[in-house]
Amino acid sequence: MKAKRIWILWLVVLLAIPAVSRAQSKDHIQLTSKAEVEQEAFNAEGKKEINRVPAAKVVPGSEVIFTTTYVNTSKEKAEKAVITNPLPEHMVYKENSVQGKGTQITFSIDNGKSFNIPAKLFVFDAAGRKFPARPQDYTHIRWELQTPLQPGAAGEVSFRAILK
Amino acid sequence: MFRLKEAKKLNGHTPIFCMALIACLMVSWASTAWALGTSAGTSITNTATVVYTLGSSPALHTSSTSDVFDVLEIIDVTVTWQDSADVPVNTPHTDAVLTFQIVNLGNGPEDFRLMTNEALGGDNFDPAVQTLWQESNTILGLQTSGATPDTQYMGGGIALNADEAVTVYVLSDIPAALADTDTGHVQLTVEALTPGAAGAAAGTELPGAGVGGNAMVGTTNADGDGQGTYVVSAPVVTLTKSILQIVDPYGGNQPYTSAQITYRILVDVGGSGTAEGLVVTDAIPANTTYLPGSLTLDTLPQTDADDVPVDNSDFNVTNANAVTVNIGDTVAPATRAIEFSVTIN
Repeated sequence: MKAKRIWILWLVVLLAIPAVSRAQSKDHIQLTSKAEVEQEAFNAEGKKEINRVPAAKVVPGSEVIFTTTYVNTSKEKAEKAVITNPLPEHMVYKENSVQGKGTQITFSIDNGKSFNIPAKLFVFDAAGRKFPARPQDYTHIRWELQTPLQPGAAGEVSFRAILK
Repeated sequence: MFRLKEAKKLNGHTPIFCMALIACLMVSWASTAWALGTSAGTSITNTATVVYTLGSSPALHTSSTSDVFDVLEIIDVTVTWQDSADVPVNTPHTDAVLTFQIVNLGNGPEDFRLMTNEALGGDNFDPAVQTLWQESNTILGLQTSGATPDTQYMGGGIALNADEAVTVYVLSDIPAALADTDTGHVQLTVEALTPGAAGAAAGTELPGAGVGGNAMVGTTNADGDGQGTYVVSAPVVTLTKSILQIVDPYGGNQPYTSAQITYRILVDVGGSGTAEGLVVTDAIPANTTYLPGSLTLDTLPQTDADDVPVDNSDFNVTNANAVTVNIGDTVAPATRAIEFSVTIN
């Protein structure tokens, strides 16, 4: 009876190992996303400084900084990496706030179906007149990494948005 | 939000689609205009996704990450006086109505307390506030009685959801013996009932006072006030009676027996505002007899019978042995002339 139990236990462990290793190996690029707000504070020298703290006291009109960190945890280089971030619900993109070193940045105004640079994004009013898209028209932001991401290499992209 | 694709379709010739789109847009505009802020307690989630190929493997790989935070409650309120101009009142006047609107500008439900102040500078008199009413039926304006009257504010708080507005009526008594065009101000003050909120500096955080967490005082300091004004617009009605002419039986103008006297009553409505339901009654002088069919208003003949709608005048019907002329609502300034004749007995 006891021996049978141990066998079953072993079976469970053996089955579980490949499942765990598969899960770990799946994300070769690991992403970490954080939402922060800026807070004024006085440092030890009594000087005013702006600190970033995790988003907690967010009210309509507040500006939130969304930062996504990426790191290649695999032993191979990652190519054609494209990071896409839909604007969170209830939030409006803050103009000119997007950052991403070594990436080409484009925006979508059609829920991610197509992407382009701001100068080439247009909307139309009820009379069919064409207007440049405004930040509140943006639905997605996309960063295309311009060079392959070497094993162990990391970087970050970010944007700011305002709570409606 | 206006989508590129939809806009292109709009240029096509599908009227039903266009109408539907326009209807959707109207709804979305209306809701955008009203929804002032994201509701307190709403969870905001940001998710980023990366797609890539790995080394020799051409297969696409994907991974993503999310971060979540909740929207804090903010407490904000505003009060605005709604009457388009100073509210005209008589002197004295009972329960003259000022109309205000209170809007919960915050993003969570909040109770608000109302207060009034009549002792303000810059006016000529202090109205005496009697009651406050909250618009609560679907009938435009204030109803204090009837099957579904509006709700009288009896203290405590008025509960408003985020972005919700309510109309509040302030009823005041106006003193007697004021001069025409005198003004009196009433201030309506509204305070959020969350302890510590009203009057606190913007950004003050109130632990545990919000929806699912803390609340924060907004730029209105969680209170607000609006000022409304009454203006005395009292019509002053002056009657001047004179003898227009006397015609005696001998061809002269002496008040002999059987002489005919024509009277003129000038009705002058001065001041400002409206003299409502103006009725002039004049008894026929003793020892004279009314000359049938002699009554005129602004030289227009009036019948002696009480025969609305032919005219609103009569003799010896509404009032015994007297002429009665119902002039009705009269906006100042105005002058009306009534004439009639009698014979000396």
